[in-house]
This record gives sequence, structure tokens and C-alpha cells, in this order.
Amino acid sequence: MSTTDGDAFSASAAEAARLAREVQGLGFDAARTVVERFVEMFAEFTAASGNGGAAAPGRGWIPPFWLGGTDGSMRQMQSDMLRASDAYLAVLSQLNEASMRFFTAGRWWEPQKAGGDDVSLPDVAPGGRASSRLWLHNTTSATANGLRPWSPGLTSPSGADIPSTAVTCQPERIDRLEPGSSRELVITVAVDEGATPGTYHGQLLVDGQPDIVFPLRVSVRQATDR
Amino acid sequence: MLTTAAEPTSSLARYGALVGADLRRRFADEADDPYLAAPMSDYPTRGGKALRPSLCLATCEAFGGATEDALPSAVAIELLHNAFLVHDDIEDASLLRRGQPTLHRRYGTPLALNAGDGLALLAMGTLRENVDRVGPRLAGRVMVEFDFMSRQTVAGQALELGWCRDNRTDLEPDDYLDLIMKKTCWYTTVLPLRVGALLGSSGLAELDPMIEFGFHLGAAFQIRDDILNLVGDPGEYGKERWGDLKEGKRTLMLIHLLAAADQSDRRWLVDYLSLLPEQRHVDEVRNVYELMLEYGSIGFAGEFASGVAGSAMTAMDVAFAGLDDSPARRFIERLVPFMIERAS
Repeated sequence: MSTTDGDAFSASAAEAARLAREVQGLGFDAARTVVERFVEMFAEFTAASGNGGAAAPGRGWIPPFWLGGTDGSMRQMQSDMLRASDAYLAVLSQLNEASMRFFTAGRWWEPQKAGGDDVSLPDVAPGGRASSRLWLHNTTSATANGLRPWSPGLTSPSGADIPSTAVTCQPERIDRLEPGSSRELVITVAVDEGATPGTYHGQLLVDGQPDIVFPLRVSVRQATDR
Repeated sequence: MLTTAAEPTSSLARYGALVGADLRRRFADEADDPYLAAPMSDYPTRGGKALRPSLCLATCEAFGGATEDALPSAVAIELLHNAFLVHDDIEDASLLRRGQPTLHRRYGTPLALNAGDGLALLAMGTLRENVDRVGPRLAGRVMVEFDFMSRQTVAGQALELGWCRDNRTDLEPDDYLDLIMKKTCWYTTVLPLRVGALLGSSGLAELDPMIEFGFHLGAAFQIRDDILNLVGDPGEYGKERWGDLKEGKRTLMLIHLLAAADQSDRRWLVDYLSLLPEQRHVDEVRNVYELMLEYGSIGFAGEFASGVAGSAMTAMDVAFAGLDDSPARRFIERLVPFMIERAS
């Protein structure tokens, strides 16, 4: 049977299409191989070099308060929680920097200068509690005994106050702090349901060490603020 | 099969304006410095499309984050991109960039080199702002992303330069894909997607699927760029035509030609590649181009790119699974065919 020009053209076009599909398949397969290799490479990289302060490596990581599900509202809620957590960590970070500057300057027994480092607690709504960490470093050559941190309370510019009893420290007392040693304190401020919104200022003092003064600050939000 | 879509101009312009304003603010303080600020701000103000930062900002929005949270990272990507371009142009002895003389031709190689360093360092400083903006946890993870990307990019560039220096003629398409994953894809698409998703989701998003989506998108983008260097309209393309042929770049077309050419043509081509770029005559460059046409190398690359790009939309669906429809997501969907089938 003779082949017409049209048949030849069709055969040629079909062959070209087959070749094109073959080359496309080659590209697709080669791309998949590269992707798989680089997924592994990145995982090895993060394992070898750390993950930049993440709570856990990215692949397969389940956050501490993972609630499951993939729908948008659930993801949004989880994102909001993590953002709040980040804000809290940022405050802690600032606090740590503040205490480090205070002590590494050798002012362990010196009063805080006006306008100096301010120990800010995370913002809190009425009825809530805010906590922060603080380190006491004994940079002197003598042992410090019977250290009891306490606060006379915080006051806002409008005259509202948070009473002394609302500010607690853990541990409540440090019996002995050797020269060059350190102890962590957790300061918690409990805000009454009826507290007036605003910024409150106060001080953290230490019994037996009359020159130690840590300025404290906490902002009480409107009850409706997120 | 992907279809051609209109350029997502308005969204690109919006994201580009955000990044442009931020860049101008950073350069404003040193505006009267003719030796550093002037060459540093030259490329970033030539009006590129800002594809990379736009991809980062849009991905952040698509994952529910605020645009501003991703802005320092997006600006850092754009600064690094420009730093790479400055050094690439020197390494390749390129004449044109975005339709104007390359930086080393305008300011001289020493000042251009220094400006490239300055852009890279400015990018690192910009990333520091993430600590205050999104907190140390996410800022640290973004730094890891940039760390890995930077290593891949310079490794890819070294690979390409080394292949040219050693006149490698034994390469396969797989070698080429490996090269462009390192040299182009990671910083052009994978990093912007991963960082955008990371910041938009506060670190909750699964980032591995972004590697697949980013690679399919970025590889098709790069192959298309290589083809445009051969057949693109010089006025629209912004770089000198056939520059890759003159430099002997190991593109997919050249790798195909080396494999497909008959013995005589291959011998001529290997001799041509053994010359230094400045020794290659324009007639010889044209002959390489004609051989590519004759042996179907450009057609091969186009089909290969189609195969790579073909599953980009599927990979995107996986990478963005579970997210609500949003203008940012629709922008990225429109960006896919635009990047793959662009003309410039």
C-alpha cells in the first residue's frame, strides 16, 4: 500500500509527539530525583548545623501545643498561639539582656540608675498573671546569705496600684549564694480582675541587700484586648 | 499542561513597590556616596520584576501571616539577588544587565566587586531585623534557610565556572539540573517559598513540599532563561543575545548538542569550547547557534522544560494544601505560568 503525503505527515507528527513526551518524561523523572536528594540534604544540614533556635527541626516537627487538623481556622489559631509565644520569648530575651547588662557592669550591689534597664513583664489582661525570669549573680568576693526578694507593689501614673502581695518570687528565699554563683528567679505578678488598664511601675528589692533595686514594669491591657 | 496566562502585573507591582520603598529607605542615608551607595543602589533601582521577594511576601500572606512580617526577609532576598548579579556579571564579563551597561562597565571592576560585597552584607544586616519583628525562634529558622541557600548558590556558581574552566564535555541533563538547583532554584523560588511559609505560619507549615514546587518552578524558569538567551528579543530580554554561547555555558542545549552532534561537528564544538571566551569569533558563536537548531537542541530543551514544569501546579497544590483561597494564593497560581512562559 502506498503512503500518501497526508499519512506521512501524520506519521511524522505522531513520531514528533512521541519524542516530545519521551523528553518531557525525562525532564520529569530527572527533576524528581534532584528534589528527593535535596530534601535529604536540607534535613542533614539542619541536623548538622542546628536549627537556628527553633524548638525542633522543621521536618516532622510537632509544636508543643499542636492541635491537629489542616483547615484554615485551626492553622490560624495555632499561628496566633505561636506568635503570642514568640512575643513572650522576645520579652524574656529583653529581660535577660537587661539583667546581664546590670550585672556584667559590676553593679551588683549598686542601685539602679534612673532611666536605666527596665525589667518589663509581658502585657497582661485584668485577672491574668505575667511572669518573667531574672538571674541573680553574685559578682562579689563574699558569700551572700538569706536573700529574700520582694516587691512593695507597683503603681500606675493614675494612682492605681498592684499590691505587694500580688508580686511573688520563686524561690521565695535564697539561703546562700556563693561568690561567682548565680540563681534564677521567676517573678510573677497577679493582676486583679478589677485592675485599671495602664502601665504600672515598681521595684524588686532583696532583704539584706539594701542597695539592690530592680525596676519592674507591667502593662495591664483593656479586658477586651487580645 | 500549563497554559499561558496574563502577567500578574498589579500584584507584582504592589509587592515590588513595597520592596522598592524599603530599599530606597536603606540607601537614602548614604545617597551622596558616589563610591559605595551609588553602585550598590544601581541594580536594585533598575526596575527588575521583584519576582523573588513577591513570591516570599505572597506566600507569607497565603499562609495567614502579615506582609510586614516577611518584608525584611523579602528585601534580603532581593539584595542578595542583586549582589549575585553584580559578581556574576564580572565573572561572565557580561555587557548588559536589564538593558543597561553592567555595573563593572559603569563603575569599574574594583568598585563593582565592592558594591556586590556591600549588597550581600546589607542583606545579612536586614535579616537581623527579624528578631524584633517575628521573635528569635522564627528569626533563627530564617537564618538557617539563608545559610543553606547561600551555600548552595555559591556552590552552583563554582560548579558552572569550574565546568567552563575545565572544558567539561561529558555532562548529562542530570548534571545540569543539579547545577541549576544549586545556582538558581534555591534562591529564586525554594527559599522565598520556604521563608514565606515559615513566617506566615509561625513555623507550623510543612516546608519540604516547597522544595518540589520551587524546583519545578525554578528549573523551568532557568531553562526558559537559557532559551531566551538564544532566541529572545534583545530589546525585551535585557541581556546580550548569545552571551551564554560566547561564554561556553553548559546549558541544556549545549549538553544536548555535545551528545547529539556527529563526530565532525562535535570535534569542532569541543575545539570551540577550549578557546577563551574573548577568542571566540562572532561567526563561530553563530555557528554554535545554527548547530543547535540543526540538531534540535533548543526543541529538546523546550520539551524537557515542559516535563519539569508540567507538575508545578500539582506540586503547588500539595505545598499549599489546606489553605483558604486568597488573593495571595491566586497571585502565586498566576505566577507559575508567567515565570515558565515568560518572554523576558
